[in-house]
Amino acid sequence: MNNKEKQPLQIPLGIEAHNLAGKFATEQVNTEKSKQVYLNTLAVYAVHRYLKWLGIETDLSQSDCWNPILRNRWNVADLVIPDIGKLECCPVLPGETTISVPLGITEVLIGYLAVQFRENLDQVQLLGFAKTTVAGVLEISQLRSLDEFIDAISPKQVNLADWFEGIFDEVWLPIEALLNNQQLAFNPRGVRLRNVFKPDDRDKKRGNQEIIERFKEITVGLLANSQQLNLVVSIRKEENQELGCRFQVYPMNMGEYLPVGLKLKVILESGEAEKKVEAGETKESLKIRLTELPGKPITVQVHLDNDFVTEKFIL
Amino acid sequence: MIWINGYLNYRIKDLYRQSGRESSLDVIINDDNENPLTLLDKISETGFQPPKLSGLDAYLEEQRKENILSIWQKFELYVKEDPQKLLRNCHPKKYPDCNCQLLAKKLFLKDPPETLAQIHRELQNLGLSIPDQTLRSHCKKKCLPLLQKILEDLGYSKEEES
Repeated sequence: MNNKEKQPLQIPLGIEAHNLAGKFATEQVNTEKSKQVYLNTLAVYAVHRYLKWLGIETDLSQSDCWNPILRNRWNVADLVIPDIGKLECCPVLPGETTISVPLGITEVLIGYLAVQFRENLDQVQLLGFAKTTVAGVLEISQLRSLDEFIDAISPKQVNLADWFEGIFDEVWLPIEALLNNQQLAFNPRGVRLRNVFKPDDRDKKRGNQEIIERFKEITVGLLANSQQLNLVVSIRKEENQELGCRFQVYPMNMGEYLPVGLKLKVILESGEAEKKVEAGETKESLKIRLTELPGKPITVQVHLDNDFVTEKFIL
Repeated sequence: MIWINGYLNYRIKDLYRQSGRESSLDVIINDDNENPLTLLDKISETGFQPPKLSGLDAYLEEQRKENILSIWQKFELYVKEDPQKLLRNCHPKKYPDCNCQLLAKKLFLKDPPETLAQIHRELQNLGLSIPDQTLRSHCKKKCLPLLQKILEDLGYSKEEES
């Protein structure tokens, strides 16, 4: 960090922040807990304002600390950034050089932002960022710059070229995990499973290039109607340098039908092409395949009702 | 597209770098050129004085809601007894054991409470092969709204929260 970046960022806390903090705090049954909730709320609100001002959307209503029951039982100061993940906003009191980060009800995905309080609660400072703690402790002097924080919340793209090197993000699981799970679960049409991931006729014609296949669990749909699905991505090097890709959506329990109206969309980033398929009454999977030159960005979306999940890839 | 994203990324960084020097209570917070309103004005206008850190305990003690303790006690009792079986009947289709009462007891009544990851491991050890995502989504989308409704029925008022 250079000196300019080291200058801490001040965030003013107005009446609305204090009103919320006061409301949440006075729902607690003892003073110590009330104080914890008050400071947590101010810290989260300050980071929310900061991100809003940067043009980054947050969803307070999805944060554990905005839920009356969760904040009552847990020491939570989390902020949800939709499609990116969850951030913990850690209050730092005057004179503290380390802070111990409480165990959260759900894991923190993005990292921790340290928020410095002082005697006057009219403003706070954002001190810096850490992706992980060391045994639950953050060392203030070891915090990273806010630059790194902004990098961390920039939308992630999956670089499929990495897959050929054997590098996978942990959310993309080997296909064997899916098949193993299925054998344990109740599965009325289990026989079909063995055929699901076999290369189809079109694959067979193209020689014996290695197919790399991974899947990710996704949840799409609004509230009561939300569905858990598996997005399966298969890639293979084709002739003339091109990359063959197959994107498939399956129900969580293979062999069941997909919800009617579920759509799978693949969009080439340049907007030059879009492929779309939709599930009818008795559809067990949706599939889109394409062959493109490596390096192209593409977006894959799964739509249900008015909700959708987006995954971005670089071929 | 890529270069635009890259450009925006740097632009964002530039903006927040500047802000380190500039944000203060004197920042103008409305669009009215003739009558600019600063944050300081807004605070003093409403007569609002934020509490001091050292005075926070006393301030919060004074503000504590009267009946809050009894609402939480009733809530705990409700979760334990589940008189209408609302909680026990709320579970993912194939996993009746993974119901809202069981989750609420582990997540809220146990001291210290258990995390979702711990609960998932325990269920696996009991031979319940519920996927982690199913557990998380059930908890978030079904249990929490149900529990919050129960809390509200017991006298908790939600009011404005954003």
